[in-house]
Amino acid sequence: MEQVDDLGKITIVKNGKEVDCDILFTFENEELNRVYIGYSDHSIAKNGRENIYVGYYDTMIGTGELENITDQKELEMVQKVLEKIAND
Amino acid sequence: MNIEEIRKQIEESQNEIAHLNDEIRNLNQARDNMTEETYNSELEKINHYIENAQKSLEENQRLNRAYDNMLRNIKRLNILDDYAREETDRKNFEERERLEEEIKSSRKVLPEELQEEIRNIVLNDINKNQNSNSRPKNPTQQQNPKQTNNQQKPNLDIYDLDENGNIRFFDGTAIAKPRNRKPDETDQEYINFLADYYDNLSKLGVFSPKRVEDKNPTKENPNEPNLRQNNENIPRLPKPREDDKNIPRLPKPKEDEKDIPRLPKPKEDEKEIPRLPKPKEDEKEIPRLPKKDWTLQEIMQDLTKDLYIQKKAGERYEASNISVTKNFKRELSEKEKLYNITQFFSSLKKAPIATIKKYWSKWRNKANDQEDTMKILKERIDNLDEDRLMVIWNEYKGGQVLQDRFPTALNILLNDRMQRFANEKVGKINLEIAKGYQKVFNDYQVIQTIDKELSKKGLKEEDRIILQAQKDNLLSGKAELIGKIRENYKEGNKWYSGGSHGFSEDMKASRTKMSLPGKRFAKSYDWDDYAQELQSKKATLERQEVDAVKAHDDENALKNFIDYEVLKSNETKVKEGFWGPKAEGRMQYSPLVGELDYRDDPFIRNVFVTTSSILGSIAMGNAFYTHNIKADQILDQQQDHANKVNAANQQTIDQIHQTGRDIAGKRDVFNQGMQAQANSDSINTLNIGERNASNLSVNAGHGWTGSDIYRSADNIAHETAKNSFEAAQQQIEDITAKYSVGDLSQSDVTAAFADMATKANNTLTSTIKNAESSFNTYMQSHPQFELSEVGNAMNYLVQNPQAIPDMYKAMADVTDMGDTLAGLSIEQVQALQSLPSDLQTTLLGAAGTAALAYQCAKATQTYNNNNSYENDITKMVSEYASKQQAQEQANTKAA
Repeated sequence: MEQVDDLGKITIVKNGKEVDCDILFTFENEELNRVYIGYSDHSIAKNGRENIYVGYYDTMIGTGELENITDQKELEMVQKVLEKIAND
Repeated sequence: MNIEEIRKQIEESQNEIAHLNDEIRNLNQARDNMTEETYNSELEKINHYIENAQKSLEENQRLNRAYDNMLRNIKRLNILDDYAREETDRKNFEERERLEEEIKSSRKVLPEELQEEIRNIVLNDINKNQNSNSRPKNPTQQQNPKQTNNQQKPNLDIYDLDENGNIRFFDGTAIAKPRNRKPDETDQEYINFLADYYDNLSKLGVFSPKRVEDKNPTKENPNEPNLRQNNENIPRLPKPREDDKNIPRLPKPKEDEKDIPRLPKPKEDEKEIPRLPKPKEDEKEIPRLPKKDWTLQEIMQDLTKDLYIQKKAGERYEASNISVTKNFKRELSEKEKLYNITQFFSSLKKAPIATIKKYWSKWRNKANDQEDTMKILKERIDNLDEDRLMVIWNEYKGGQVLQDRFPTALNILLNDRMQRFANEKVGKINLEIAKGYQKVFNDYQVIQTIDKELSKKGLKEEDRIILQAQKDNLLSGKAELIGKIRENYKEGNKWYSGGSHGFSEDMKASRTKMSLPGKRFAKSYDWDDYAQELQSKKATLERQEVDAVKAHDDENALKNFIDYEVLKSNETKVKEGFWGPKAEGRMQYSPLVGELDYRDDPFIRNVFVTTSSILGSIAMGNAFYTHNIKADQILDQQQDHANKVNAANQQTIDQIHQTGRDIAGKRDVFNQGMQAQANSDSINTLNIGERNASNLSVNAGHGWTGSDIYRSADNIAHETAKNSFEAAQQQIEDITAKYSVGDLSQSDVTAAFADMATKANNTLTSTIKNAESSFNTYMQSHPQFELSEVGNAMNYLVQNPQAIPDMYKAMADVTDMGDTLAGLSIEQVQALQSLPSDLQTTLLGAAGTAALAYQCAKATQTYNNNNSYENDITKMVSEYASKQQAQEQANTKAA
């Protein structure tokens, strides 16, 4: 696991406005040919927690579109990555 | 009635509706020339006619649609069947399945005569097609000796011939039957003959799966010897007789589709049909026919046959090359913040960035050759049957896995399949456990109420006898039931612990992500004095329970079971933590094995509670007055609560008012129903009452020999109780299973339960009707026993056969109303939720309206609680424990 000072920013459109988000972590999955990124605009949800968004780029298609994760197993993989980050 | 008549009726109905609409227009034009009363009367008549015509039109259109669909689908099915008989042809197989389902649906709609009409059309079409194709295109096809002059005639001696010298065929096939054994032939000679006969057929490809390219038999491979022409020893296969060819070739129908034309099966008594020759190695298909003695290696061979699986294939969800910012890493590690992880972000996002781009060139052209292989492997694993799954479950563990070193992909996919397999098994076990808990806790609370009554001074002797009998009845079988609950739990745990080296080390942990909720971040404790004391209590209670169960001591088994469960519940505390639930108690207790299956669905849990409460009400004898009084009180309370909620939230005031009125409007129905229910309860206790009466009689010196009438009533009571209970149990499982797979909606489930209860009561009423005359005779001839109340109860039920069904229907209505309450705010729901405490201590589920309204409220509350740890059984135990504590505190204060 590589720890860096900065992973760059990503721009999203939120409530009709462009918002810069910090990329917090990235990882790849070679079998799925995907790069996953976790990013945050540091907004706080109603429950008092900070929002982190996770999506992926399909490197085979390479459109540059960030896609939503819909597969439960991918979500579990993300969860494991977060646990790994927290515990390593 | 045929389809033409139906279509004619459709046209007529449409014309009639048009005509009637004209009439309305005419009526409107003439309105000024008639009184209002006449106008309304005429309009009402016309509308009535329109309504009838519309109904008729809709019904006939429905039949017409079903007719067209069924005909079209059967024709499609036949075409499919012609071109693809193999079940391994997955797409065609699935298409056939779909068509069969649609045909089945149509059959439910269509009357028999229309189905018959469709069958005739299909058969005629098939005949026409086969007749048009019957002329041989190639002389080599002319294998029927009766039609062939210039061909080598087959040796007819080897076939089974009918009285006209025609060759007989196996039903529905073009395979000629071999001759029967000759009188002078030995067993071995005949066996040898059959072996040669079928070997030759096999060489001809008769048993090979039919493929699309085989459809035209004239296109033979020129590189292969033409066995049909060159090998004279091979029996020539005659073509089927004309009447055999008329048999429509439809895929294998399901059991209940008996009316769809299908291939006839060989009859059981056709013992001369030998087994098909063993297919060659390269003809084996997966899945094979089921057999019971599979070995593990055979299964693994089938699964992996002809597949090239890369060593890293299947590791699809392994993350690599993780990069993280130092800040985020620190925040996570030190748990400085709490996060919501959101995988859906609906806003458009488009931001190619350098961080990501560097990966692209690396993978852009990488071929994913393994994808198809994995699909095939997954399909094979998904299709494993129960027998083979059990072999894998039992044997593919530990050293076996290490020894064989199958590819990772196989292990991953097998792991997933076995988890599903285990989860299905545990689901069934949990269902049994939940029902057991419900029964134990419900009955225990009734027993407590009875004990309270029994302890009162001045209790009449006859009341005491009845109550004691009631208590004995409730206690009966509890030791066995508790033993079964414990055994089921052990059995379920076995399924969730699949072995340390085989499937996931802990199936439960893998399936539920974190094993028991909160376990991962559970608070740890020293093994201190408290722990020692707790352990001592647990050991004592468990020992007492086990001993009581062994000794069939129902009362002590029940008491110790409850005490033990309450102890465990009290020691289990789960709170919301950083990553989710966090266990903070000394124990991590759950009555159910694992927790994540469909029974944790909030609605279905309430269904269990509701239903078992209704079943539990059967045990509530002598409660007629209580029913009435308490029902009124609860209904009034409910209205009060509804009013309070109204005040709290103006937005939904109308809805609450209406719901409250609707529920109150069912009061009469409930009262009548509950009265009947109480009477049926009395009758259910007839058997017990009789036995006590019998004992009293004997003790008093009157003698008791047990007349036929008594035995008759006794048997009927037994039979009724047994049948009703078993039927209800079965139906509960069926209904919940259907709900779990999405076949039934919540309202469907409610309606199904109402229907179930109605039918059960119809059975009861019917049985009582039969028993009434015998009972009356017995009652009159045995005046020494005070049985008039039972007789009155019987009479009431017979006179009001619809009372209980009506009550259940009303319950369903109220539940529907409850659905409308689902949109209420949590505050409102909580206000409604204050209902149950009275309910649980007095009537359980017998006061139907309040019980169901409560359950609905409870469900809505659960829906709003996304991180709910508890399931309904844990709640039930915990509620009971809290209630007991409150009671004890109150008693202490009072003392």
